[in-house]
Amino acid sequence: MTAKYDAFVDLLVDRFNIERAIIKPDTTFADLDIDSLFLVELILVAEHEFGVTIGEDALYPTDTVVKAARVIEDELAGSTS
Amino acid sequence: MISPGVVVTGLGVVTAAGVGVEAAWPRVCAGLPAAARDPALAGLPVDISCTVPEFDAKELVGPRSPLTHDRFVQLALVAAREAVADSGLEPTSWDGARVGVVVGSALGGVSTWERQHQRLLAGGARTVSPLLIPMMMHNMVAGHVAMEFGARGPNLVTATACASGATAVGTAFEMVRDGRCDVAITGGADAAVTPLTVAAFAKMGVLSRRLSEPRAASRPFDVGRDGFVIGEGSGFLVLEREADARARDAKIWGKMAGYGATADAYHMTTPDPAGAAVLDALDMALGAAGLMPDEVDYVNAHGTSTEVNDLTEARAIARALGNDVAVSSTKGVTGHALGAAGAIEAVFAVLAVRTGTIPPTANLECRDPAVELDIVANSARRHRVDVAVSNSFGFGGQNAVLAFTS
Repeated sequence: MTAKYDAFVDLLVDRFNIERAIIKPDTTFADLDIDSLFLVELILVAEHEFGVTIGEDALYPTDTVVKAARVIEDELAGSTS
Repeated sequence: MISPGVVVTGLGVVTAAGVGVEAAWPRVCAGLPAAARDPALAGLPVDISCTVPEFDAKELVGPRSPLTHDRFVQLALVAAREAVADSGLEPTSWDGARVGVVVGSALGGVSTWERQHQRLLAGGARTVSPLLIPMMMHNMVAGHVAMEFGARGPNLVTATACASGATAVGTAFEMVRDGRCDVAITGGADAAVTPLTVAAFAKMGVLSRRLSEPRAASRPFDVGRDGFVIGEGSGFLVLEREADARARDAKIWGKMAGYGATADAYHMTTPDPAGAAVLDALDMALGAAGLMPDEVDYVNAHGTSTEVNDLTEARAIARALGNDVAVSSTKGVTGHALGAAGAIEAVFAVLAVRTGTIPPTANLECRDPAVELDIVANSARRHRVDVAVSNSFGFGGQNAVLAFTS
């Protein structure tokens, strides 16, 4: 599992009121009833939380939770290198 | 041709006096004012309001609703659910194409607008939520009610300022009467107790400054009144044609008998002192109902607790209905819920008819001598009410009058 996966799941649970039990690494945002507009809002919150710039086009509702965690990690790695 | 009768089969309210008819109506009848100092308004020239107590949107509306629904929609959904459940109609099996939704709102999602504008100023355009527009648009409240209940019939939002809720209920009444839908879910909602809105109303000079005694601040028709107390909330009714309701053996709260709508065509914020358009709206509502002025037992007044409203309205009521009709303003308890007020007060007018209880005007210690009416003051009056009228007026000069009968 990626380093930021647990932190990203915490964000989904704490800030977006999603039940922890239904979140698995291969769960898509669409599975969580997160549509494209809501995903943009989620990205804004994640950017603030993790101190990164993800960009609105980096993730789609068909992407998985673990992919989002990897995008955050890549951005963190990029911003420190 | 005789128009088919329209009846009220469901009621729901969310107000500062309580969430749900069972909580709010006893408090309104007891004349217990809900106004209080509001920490969210600290530092403003006016910091009193009538907000809905302990409204947990996550629990009452849905776990994600704070992120997706402006508060005015949250309040509306709770009131609409109560009204639909109360009607005994079954949204899972009804013909949704025959169910209409009409909701009034004066200020829509201003709290979302205000928060997102702060984000723009603080963090730039990229921090603005993509949900801002769908959260703040006025029409979204009727959209959400339709989504909640699968109501695919005519769907609209009315904006006539503080008459919006009454305009909505009147419009829905005509739609049901005229056969454009079989069921209408109709009401009003506003949640505009925000620093910017309150600062603006304060600047207009329309809010009470009785800051040291908030519970005494909203005092319609009292000689010591000095403005309204801003409130929030929602009221909803379910309307059906009488024959349909009787055929399914529904509980009938009362009949909706008439609607009158006019405009002052006079001034942006000041009512026409002659009150001609208010008289016309009263005449129109009674005419539609086939009622004579002396048949009206109770008027739920707009009664905002501003001098200009109360005096103009009192003169119009006296001229249209005479001096003996029982009148009260429930805003002494609930404050002024803006576009929701007309719908909340429609619910109270129906309850007055159904229960034979006229709710009082709170804080009426000394009736303004210029108000030559029988104002029901401080405690409820038990009296048979066969005909109740509810007045609502808005900035812009819009007037809406609803008539209900037993």
